[in-house]
Parts: sequence; C-alpha cells; structure tokens
Amino acid sequence: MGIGLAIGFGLTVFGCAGANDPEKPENDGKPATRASAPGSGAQPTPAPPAAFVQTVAELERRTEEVEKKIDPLRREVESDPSDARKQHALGRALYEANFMEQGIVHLERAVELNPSVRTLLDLAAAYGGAARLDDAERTCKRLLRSSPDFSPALYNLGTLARRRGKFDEAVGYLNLALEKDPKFLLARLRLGDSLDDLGRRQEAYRTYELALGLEPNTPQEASGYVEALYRLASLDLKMGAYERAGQFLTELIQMAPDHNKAYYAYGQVLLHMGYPEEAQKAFDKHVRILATKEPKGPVAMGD
Amino acid sequence: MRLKLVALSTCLLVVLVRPDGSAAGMRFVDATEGSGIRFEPVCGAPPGEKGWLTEGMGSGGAWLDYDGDGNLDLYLINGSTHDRPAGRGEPNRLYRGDGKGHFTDVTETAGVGDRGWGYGVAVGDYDNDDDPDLFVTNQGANVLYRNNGDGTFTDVTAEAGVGPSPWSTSAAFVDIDGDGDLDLYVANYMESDISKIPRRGDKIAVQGACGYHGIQVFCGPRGRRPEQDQLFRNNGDGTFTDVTQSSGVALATPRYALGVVSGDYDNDGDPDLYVANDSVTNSLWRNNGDGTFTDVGIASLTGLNADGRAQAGMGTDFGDYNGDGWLDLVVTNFAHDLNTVYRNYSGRFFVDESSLAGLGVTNLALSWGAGFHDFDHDGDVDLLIANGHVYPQVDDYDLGTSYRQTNHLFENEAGRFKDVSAKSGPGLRIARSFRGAAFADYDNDGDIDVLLTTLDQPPVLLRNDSPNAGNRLQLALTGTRSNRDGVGTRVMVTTGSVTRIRERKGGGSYLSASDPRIHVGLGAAVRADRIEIRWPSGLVDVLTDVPVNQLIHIREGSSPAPGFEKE
Repeated sequence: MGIGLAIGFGLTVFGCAGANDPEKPENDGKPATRASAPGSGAQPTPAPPAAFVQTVAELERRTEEVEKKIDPLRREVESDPSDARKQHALGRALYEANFMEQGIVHLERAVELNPSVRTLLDLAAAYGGAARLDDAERTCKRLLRSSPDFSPALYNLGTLARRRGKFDEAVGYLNLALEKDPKFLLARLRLGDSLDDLGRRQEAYRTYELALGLEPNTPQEASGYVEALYRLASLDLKMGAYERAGQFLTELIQMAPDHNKAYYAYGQVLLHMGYPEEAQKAFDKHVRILATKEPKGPVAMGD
Repeated sequence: MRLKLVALSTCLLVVLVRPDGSAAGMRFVDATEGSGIRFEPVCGAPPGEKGWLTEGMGSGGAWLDYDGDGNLDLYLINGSTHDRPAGRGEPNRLYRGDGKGHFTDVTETAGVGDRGWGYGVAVGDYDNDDDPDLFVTNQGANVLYRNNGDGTFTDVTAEAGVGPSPWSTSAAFVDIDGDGDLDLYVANYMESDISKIPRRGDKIAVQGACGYHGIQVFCGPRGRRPEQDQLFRNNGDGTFTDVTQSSGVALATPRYALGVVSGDYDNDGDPDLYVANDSVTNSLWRNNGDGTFTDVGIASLTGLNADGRAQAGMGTDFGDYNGDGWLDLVVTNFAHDLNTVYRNYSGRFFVDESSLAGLGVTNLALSWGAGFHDFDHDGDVDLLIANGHVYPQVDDYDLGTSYRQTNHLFENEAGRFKDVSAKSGPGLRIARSFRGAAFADYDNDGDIDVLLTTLDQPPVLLRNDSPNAGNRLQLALTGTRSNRDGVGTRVMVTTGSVTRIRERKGGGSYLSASDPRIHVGLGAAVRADRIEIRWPSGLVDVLTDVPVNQLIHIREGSSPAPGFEKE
C-alpha cells in the first residue's frame, strides 16, 4: 500500500486504499444499492470486540488472589501501625484492588504520620477515585499550602472541577497550573477542553495551538502533541474549516498512523468537502485499525 | 433608532415568553392528574435497596386503539420483586382512552393483566384481523395477547410459540420477508438468575464490573452471560417459527440488547433493524431482501461511536433529521457519555455527528427513551430524550449528575439540534428517573404528546400545548396486500419543492410503542401537493392537492399511482 491518495486541497489519506489497491472496496464509487450497502460483498466486517465473562466463581477466585496479595501488607501494618510507609503501601494496595474506602483509611493514617507530597497526592487520587471530590479538593489545597508552586495539585483541582461540570473553576486552576509550569502539556489540553466546554471555542483553539508549540520530548508528551492536533482538527471540523482540519489530521496520521479516530475525523472532513468515496476509505481504515486494538471499555453500568 | 430596537425587543419578549418561562416554540404540560391513569410501577426493591440491575431497568408502555373507536388507549407494563414467586408481580394495566385525555382502567375486562416481571411491549396486528395485538416482554416467559375484537384479549403465547425467553426487553413487529404478515423480533438482555450475579456490596462484587466513579453500585451487564435475541417468522396461521439461526441474526457472542427499531435505512424497500446493545457493539441488521439479515453495525459505523468505543445503548429511533431522504439514527447512552446521532450518508455508511448536531449537552444525563417527532409542525423532526440515572447513590456524591433527571427536548434548526428543554413548559421541568417514551396524539388534537414511564414512580403524561404550531397531516394506514398495520410503509409528503419522508416503524424506544399513525408537520403550507405511500408490497398510492390539518385513512391500493391497479 502506498502513501495514499491525493484528493485535492493538498490533503492525503495515508494508508488508505488507492485506485489499484487490492484493499479497495468493491462498491467504491457506485450508488447505494443493496449490493453496495455496508457489509455486502467482499467488504470485510471485522469481528466485534469479544465479550469478557465474569462468573461468580471467577470473581470469588479473583477476590481470593487479591486477599492473598494484601494479607502480608496487613500483617506489616499490624506489626507497626506507626510506620507511615507501611500504611501508605497497604492503602495503595487496597485502593488499587478496588477496596477504596479501606484503602483511604490507611492512606489517611499515612498522611497523619507523614504528610509528604507523595502521600497527599495518593490520598487525593484515592478520594477522587472514590467519588469523594470534596475530600480530594481539600487534600489538594492542603498540598498547595505547603507547596504553593506545585502545579500537579493545581492541575488536579482543575480536573476535579471539570468532573463536577464547573468549567469556569477548572479554567482558573488550569491557568494557574500553567503559570507555574508553562510546559505542562496535559494541563494545556485540559484547559482547552474546559474552554471548549464553556463554548469559548476560539480560546480553546488558541490553547491547543500553544500546546503544539511545546516540543515533545517524551512519549507522553508526544501523545499529548497528537491529542492537541486531534482537538484542533475536531474544532476546525465543528467550525467548518475543513481544509485546515484535513491538514492537522494529515500531520497527526504521519505521527500516529494507528490513530483510528483521526481517520474517522478525516472521513468526516472528506464528506464535507464532497469526496464520499475517499471518505469511505478513511472510515474503512478506521474500522480496520479498530479491529487490531483492544476494545476500549464502554461508559456503562458498573464500569 | 437604538431606543426603538430596545422597545421592539421588549415587546417580543412579552409576546414570546410565557409566565412559566416557556418559549413560543414548544410547550409541554403535565396532564397526568385528572387523566385517570393511576399506576404505581414496581421494579424490584425501593431505590436505596436495589441490589441487582434487574431492579434498575424500569418498564415501558404502549399506545394502541384496542377497541377501534378512533381514540388511543394506553397499556402500561409492571414488574415484580425478587422475593415474589414468578408470575406474582404487579399486573400490567390497560386504560381505555376517550380521545379527550381521560382514561378508564379496563384491565380486568380486557384480560391483559399479566403478572410476570414485565419490561417492554410491542403492538401489532399479527393475525391481520384489523385489531392490534400485544406482545409483552418479561424476565421469564413472554406473553402474546390476541385481540378478540370485542374489547377482550386471549393469551395465545403457547399456541403461537413465542413464549420461551430468559429476559427480554424491547420487541418489534415487522414484516421481515414481505409476505404480508408481521414477524417478531425480540431483544434479549442477559441471564436473570440473581444467584449468578453478585449483589451490590458483596465482597466479590468489588472485583467485578460493579463500581461507578468509585461508588459501589449494582453490577452492570459486562461479564454476565448475554442472551441471544430471537426472531420469529409469522406462519400466517396464528403460529410463529423461531428463525433466529436461519435468518442470520444469531450471534456467536450474543449482546445485551435493550432497544430495537425497524426502518429502511438503505431505501431498498425492505425493513432493516437496528438494535441498541448495552456496553457492547450495536447491531444494524441489513435485510438481504429475503428475510435474512447481515450485521453491518461495524461496517456501517453504527456499531461504535466516533471514538471507536462501544456505548451503553438503551433506546433508539430512526428519523430523517436533516431532510435528505435517508433515515438517520439516534441511540441513547449512559451518563458522562454522549447520546449518539448517526447521520446516514445515502445508505452507504453513517457518521457519528453527535457533537456537530448539538447533542453535547446531554453528557451528564443517563438517557433511555428517544423519539424523532415534529412537535411544533415546522416540517422537521425534533428530538425528545427521556433521562434518569440507575444509581440512587449518585445523589450522595458531587458528580454533576443526579438520580432523578429532567428530560431533553431539542428543536431541529436546519439539521442541528438546539436544547430548548428549559423553555418548553413545566412538563419538561419534572425530574424523575425516567425510562420509556411512548409518543402519540392521545387527545386527537393533531400534535404529538408523550407518555413517559419512570422507575418506581407513576408515569408522566405530557400534553403538547405548543402555541402557533404549523400545519400538519396524519395518516392512518391499512394494508391489504401488505401487513394490515402497514409497518414498513414509506410516506413521502411534498409541499412545493420540499419532500419529507416518514416511515411506519416497528418497535419503539425503550420498551415502548408509539402512535401507529404517521404524523408530518408542514409549517405554513395549507395543502400537500403530493403524498406518495409506498407499501411494503410494492404498491404505491398517491394523493394530490390534499388540505392540511386532517387525519386521512388510507387503505392500500385505494388511490393507486399510475401503473398500479386499484384494489
């Protein structure tokens, strides 16, 4: 498969089936008929994500395993309850095993014994994970009292506010985090998201553009850079700036060729620009990439 | 000049905004009180004590004219509790409507008070004898009630062969093979034996899919055994044959189905089916033209959202929201997720345009019933979505969401939806844990009202009192060669250069069934230039120069288009 398919306006679908490509769908270019409708003919339909099964017996076994891992830590704490490190370790283990409230009890004890930045951050995270957002906020503010320039605490306050739907407040905290650390890429992205949530689309756009100005030095930062590209393209798509959206997506796909969402967005761009056949190829690519990935968990009951 | 503009604006404000805050566009009021509908639904334990998701799904309702008097009647489904023996739940109820908003409980005389743990209902004249029959979905055996035509029903489940089921949710009557009678698609959920599902708070539940933002709640479906949906072909003699396997709708790994609706998404003349599944890929079943189906959910891009993520599909509806002649889709989902609007691109594929279409505001709501209807008769379909959380525990936390929620009403503005919930009358400000939405013109005043079912609270009947609504037409279809209900019929109404499509759909959004009549808003037009009715049989009837604001009864073949013989 070649680099792809030039379709005008300088846009290119990388990795999509070209004119003589064996992966080209049979119904390419034909009007919608029964024979050319999705899923017909040789057009591959990837298998849907496999379901996972949790029987009661399996859950009992898993609970037993977790207990086995935690028991030694419990005994350590019982042997010396005044050791902050042991309380911290047990608290984290319980929290990570989904016994959140029990974990919080030990993390609180660890903080009482040694209110270090690390224990306070873990406690705040545990409160957040257990939906105790007031406690998480209080803990972050406590951290800030001792370390006023600690940008992760400001970032956490911003994300907590976002979770509550308080986007103005989130913008305030995230701006503060960026004042302390202008290269905090994740904070820049969340700030853009919050501005977008508030309908301040132009400001969101500028924020993502600023994120692109940060040189990605680590894989995590590179991932943030890609997400900034995606968000800019999404905003352009919403605003009808299809050509610019296509340019962002082209750059994104070069950096992250398995970013299925980028192909999906590219398909939308192509549709709006009047290239339905090319859009179909971009969507097909999205589907093919999806089939190679672990399915993402849904937002659903119990998840 | 500026002063004049300010004065004009003030006048407009006075004219457009009512004392209750509703705008001149759409207005819904609570008409439950005094309607005679006294219904106390039961779905397991009370809210704070619910231990399993069997207790959080609620139940639906259906509009039907069971006695053929021209007035819509209401059938409401009721549930049970886990400590009661099977078949000892609260009875379903049938209310006879007088067409003026008053209802009388006729359950006992009609003989439709099934006491299974009920969830959903489908309506269809499966025996083509000119009266609507009822199919009730239960946890346990389902029930088919045949309408005797004299105000009573007979339970014919055993002889029809459609009873066996583990836990069914929604159902749709639809003629899948074009043989002139209604077949039956039954959406099934998961194992319902609670001895196999951890209870909320059980130690082992902690390791299962039984948390929500860190809160211990009842376990979701993921990880439990899903049940296969069922498709029954109508044999035309009162019996059905299970064709789940031979029709192709059997899945190697069944999905947790909650909603089903039929619609001809590819405009090829046969009914396709869309199934909203909870937590896993949704299914778009393309009809191969012979009553067999191919799942094109993934290939058509309707199986997952734009992120490539499965969602918690609950309710669904087909409707052409952008007026391009192709049926689009809406699927309702969980809280902290978007409801999804899939725009149909000429039957080739669909694109998740939820954000572009304006549904981003639904993020914190947990949504169930949904319907595309033209509530203000301006010629395009609006969207109403019923909301309500499954976990009462969310009220104890600051997550931006709540157990009882208000519903969403979106006005269609040139293919984009504007949230007008807050200014559309007091009916839209009622907060409950809503579930089903059954749409109908129950008071025969020409506009679409809605019955909303709730979890553990009485249903809410919202009357559409929209002022200054445009003109409209309603069509009551009677098939002759096609199935009697005309399910699958495509209606195209042309005024000037605009053609609007509507379809007589099977199924209904979230456990419910809506008004069988076709309704189309026409704005300021005073006549419809042309109404084309394409029946599933292939016959086409055409009416021309039709005055608006009337209900037209159309019998298949009575006004044939050139080239078709009169019946």
